[in-house]
Amino acid sequence: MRKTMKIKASLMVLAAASLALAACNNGNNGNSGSNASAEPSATASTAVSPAASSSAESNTYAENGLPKDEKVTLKFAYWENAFGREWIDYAMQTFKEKFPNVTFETTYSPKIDTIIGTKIAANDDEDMFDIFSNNIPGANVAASLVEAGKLEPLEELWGRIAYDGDGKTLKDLAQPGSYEATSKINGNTYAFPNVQSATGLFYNKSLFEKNGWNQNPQTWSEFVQLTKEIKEDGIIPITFPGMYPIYLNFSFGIAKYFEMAESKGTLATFEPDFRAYKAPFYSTPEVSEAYQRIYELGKLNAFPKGVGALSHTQSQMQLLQGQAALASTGDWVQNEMADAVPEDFRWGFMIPPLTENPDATKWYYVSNGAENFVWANKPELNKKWAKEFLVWLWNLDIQQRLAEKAGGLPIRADFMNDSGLVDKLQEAPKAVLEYMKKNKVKGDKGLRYVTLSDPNAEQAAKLIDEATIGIALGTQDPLPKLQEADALLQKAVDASK
Amino acid sequence: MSPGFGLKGSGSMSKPATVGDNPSAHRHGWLKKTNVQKWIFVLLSITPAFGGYLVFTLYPNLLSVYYSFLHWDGIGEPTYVGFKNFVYMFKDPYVWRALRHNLLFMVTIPPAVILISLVLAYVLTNRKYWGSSVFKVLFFFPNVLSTVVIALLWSFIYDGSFGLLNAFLGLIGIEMGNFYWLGEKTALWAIIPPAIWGGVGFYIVIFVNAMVTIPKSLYESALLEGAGHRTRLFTITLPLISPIIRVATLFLALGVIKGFENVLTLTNGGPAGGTDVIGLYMFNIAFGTGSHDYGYASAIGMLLFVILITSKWLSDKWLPNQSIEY
Repeated sequence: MRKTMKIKASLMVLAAASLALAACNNGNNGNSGSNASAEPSATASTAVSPAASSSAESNTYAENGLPKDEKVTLKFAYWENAFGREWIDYAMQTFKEKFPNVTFETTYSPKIDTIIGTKIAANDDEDMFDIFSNNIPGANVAASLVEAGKLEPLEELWGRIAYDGDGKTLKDLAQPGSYEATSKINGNTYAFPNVQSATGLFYNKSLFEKNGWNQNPQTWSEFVQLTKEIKEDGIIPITFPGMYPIYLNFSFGIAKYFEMAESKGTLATFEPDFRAYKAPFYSTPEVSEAYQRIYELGKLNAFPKGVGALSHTQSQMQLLQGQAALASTGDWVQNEMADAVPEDFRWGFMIPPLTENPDATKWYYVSNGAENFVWANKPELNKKWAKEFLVWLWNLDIQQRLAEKAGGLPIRADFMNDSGLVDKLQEAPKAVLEYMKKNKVKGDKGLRYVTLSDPNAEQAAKLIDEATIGIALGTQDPLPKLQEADALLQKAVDASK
Repeated sequence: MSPGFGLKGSGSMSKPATVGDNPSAHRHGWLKKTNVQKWIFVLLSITPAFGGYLVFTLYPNLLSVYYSFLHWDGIGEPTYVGFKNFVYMFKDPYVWRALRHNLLFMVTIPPAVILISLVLAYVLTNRKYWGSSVFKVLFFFPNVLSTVVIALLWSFIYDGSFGLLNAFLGLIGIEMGNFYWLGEKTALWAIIPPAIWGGVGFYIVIFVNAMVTIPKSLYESALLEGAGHRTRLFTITLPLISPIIRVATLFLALGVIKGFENVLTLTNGGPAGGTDVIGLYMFNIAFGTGSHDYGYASAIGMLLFVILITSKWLSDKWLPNQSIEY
């Protein structure tokens, strides 16, 4: 009897341990798509039989020539940001309806960069996503990935005929400047866009009209005058989430260096040097004068005291509650703060001009996250379908969904030229569009095509990042910090030789 | 019925084995089998936990030692750089800045948590208040919240526009306007109260349970001899629970050195690096928005390991390790 009980007890322990191990092994990707037992990727679960070979042509889609009878599952990493997921779900649903042999295994996450970074580090091509957001961790990682041959070149997609473009290519259909603003590495597109993205200063038109403030300053002096008037009226002129100083870069950062270079006539040399990550950089006239502009605003108390403590929500709430007049952020802000926008709030947008030339181009920062990469080490059929999906995202109905539900700024010119469709834009991106129509603008993502692996490069960036708050508050003269950063950058450049 | 365990098989015609036949061999066989069964059971019981420890704790830590000698961004091929990461680390001003911040937290947070926990535990144990059981729950409540939730809660308290702290100060006549407590001047000190608030509850429970185990007879004898409250506290209560206080201090100190979740949530290490701590600095080097350097981050991890071991050694050396008996 005792022996039997002991045997039973041992078996129970063994069973419990087995169950625990089985539970741990149960794949958990946190996705809404098919699970680990999904159809295998495209090395043909269904081969075309010899008998059917004579009718092979009818087994392909007329639109793209891809086979109908080969099932493909695309692993897709979607950055769940202020745009939400409704529009991308619609895009995937319509794609699946059109091409039933293609399914998606989607991972949504606000921290998709962490997930993508982990998978990249794991270096498992089979586990890696087929399509993933260009919100990837680490500066200049894309250049490293291109160098390692891990990203699929997507330049060809610009020449693809759109599914609903009446025979026009995506490049023909793109909003003017979009192709130029798309980041390229070694002259090739790797992150394909499906939406425009603009950052700058957003404001409440009602507040500006009520106070008679200038809604479209054309020169630096006019902008400074505007901040002084706002300050005199007891309102914070400009706010941004100081916990993440990059938000100040949206309005006064990298793109403005190009604006300064253009005004000085040095863009032809400054830009290639910037892309190639050459030193000196921080203490160049183009960059140091941009920081002097911020310092000047800081000494005028244009930014709120305690700005370093502000989170996204706090700074944007300052704008919505009328405590601040201008917020440095992106066109996603309305959708992001949708539940908190007062009824009488009317979105306006401006790009601060850093030069005294009213006819100068106003440069703006194009933020990351609105583009997608395709992983190169995947089966050919997977890559082809991945590219088809990226083209599909340009369909007008999806662009409309992006505009209405996500607060995005569609990338198609025919959308933007149709007043009926433009009316469907949310107010903030519409304000961006209106500004772009009235002013000469140009966007840039500020990407470099070289990676400096020496830690001094990262230290230089950190030094300037941390100095930004002091500069914005007028307590830190930027020049010594810029020079210090350049000394570090020079060490990094020398180490890379 | 045979007193044996039927070890000799099931043949009905065979004489049942008895102890008398070969008692020594029989007992030895039985013990051996029992031992084997015992060890199987032990192995089955500890394998999941120990396996988890090997796979998720020991192995990654050993791998970190290896990574600390590399330069690797997680994408390209790792490059062996020898002790370069360590040399750079000792020259890195941000490492020393972070460690200064950690030192400040180490000298403020553990003593404050221990002191407040002891006082409240003593009050709850030795004074009978109406609703004292409710207070015990209330004091423990922060401990059920995660560090991130606590930090978010306090970020609202510290908010300049609608924060509780400014409102409370306004009620007592101190007008702070829209002062942001996580701003440039006060951020570092503002990290301390949430850490204390979040830690006190757990240690109150620990100390209450330690205090209730002290024999009442000791207090009765002391009372009979005319000992006052303070005497009873310092000569009976505290000495008898000193080993627990010592362990609690050690845990708190180690937690303060390596923890960074509240800093990440409250200030992200800012403003301008003003609240950066060594754990957060290491985290950002490995996983932040800048360039990734797992090798350098691992080297900092090794430094953190040395600091933690040194802290344990110092606490063994300086904190009394004698338990007292009466």
